[in-house]
Amino acid sequence: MVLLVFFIIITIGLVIYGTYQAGQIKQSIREAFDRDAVVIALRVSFLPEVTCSENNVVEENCFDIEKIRAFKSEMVNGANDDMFLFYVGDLKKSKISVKQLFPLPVENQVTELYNNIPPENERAEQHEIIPTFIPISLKDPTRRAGKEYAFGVLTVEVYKEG
Amino acid sequence: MRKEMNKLANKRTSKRGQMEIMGLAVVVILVIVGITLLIRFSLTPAKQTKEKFEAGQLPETIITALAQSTTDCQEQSMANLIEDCGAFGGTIQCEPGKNSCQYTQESINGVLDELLERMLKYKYKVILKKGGREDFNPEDLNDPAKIYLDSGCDESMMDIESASQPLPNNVEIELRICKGRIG
Repeated sequence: MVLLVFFIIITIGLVIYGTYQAGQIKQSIREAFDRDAVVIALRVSFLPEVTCSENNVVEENCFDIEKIRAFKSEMVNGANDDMFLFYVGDLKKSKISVKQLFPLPVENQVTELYNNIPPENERAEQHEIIPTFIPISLKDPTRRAGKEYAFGVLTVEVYKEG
Repeated sequence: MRKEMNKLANKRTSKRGQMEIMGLAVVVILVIVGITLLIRFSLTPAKQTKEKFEAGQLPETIITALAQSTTDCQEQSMANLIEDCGAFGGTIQCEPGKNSCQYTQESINGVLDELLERMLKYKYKVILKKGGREDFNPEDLNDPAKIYLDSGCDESMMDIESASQPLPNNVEIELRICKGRIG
């Protein structure tokens, strides 16, 4: 009798433990996705191709509007395939964009720097896009010193399958 | 003789029954210990790398970037307008009927609404300080010479991350972000 009860309890315990472990594994996978998204966001925010610098001194959390324009013209719409391929290894399947929030620009536009997220019809059935938002300063070096900053947000969206 | 044998058999059966009950008790204790451990581990908060990364330096980054940005109010920086509001009660006129305090309050509210509430789903509070002390009372809510924003940040319920930007004339602007997610 004791053995029977014992085995029933053990079976229930194993089922509960299995369910709990499945949840834990899902959470670990999600955690790994999140970590990847953060790594890509960090890479982008320190990309020397777009960050502000004055006499080789890098300004933290600041993107240069002129550099962004030059970068965008080469990267988006397959303008420069070699350059695009150079960044694919680091930026993976992500979309990176910059939006000015203050002062509000005349056209409320989002500047896309890089986009390697598959189009809707090519995405896996089970997929997720994880966005990360980083507030930044946007510097327009063509304006007078002290009057060249705006406030914006850098958005890094990472595409994950499964 | 037979009676004595029956007595002995009954004694053995009841002893075995006691042993079974003892065994069951041990199993139940083990199960309770197991469930307690499971609940304890499952209630340990999971590490949320992305949330930590986003919220960790958020107030500092926002307040620094916002303070140095150039406004369309006489091309003054946001820091200058906040300082004018805090130190002199809003002497700079940005638009007819809108001084530096009103302009700053409206602009900061717009930016934080978009960035914190819509994108990141955080609540926030912005407080202007003079000489290190909060320059605001509940009756100042519509005072055009003060800056105070609160999107529903319940500081007793939520985790707070804050940063402040010191400005000339002993003025300071503080941003508090309430990390309890909404929505």
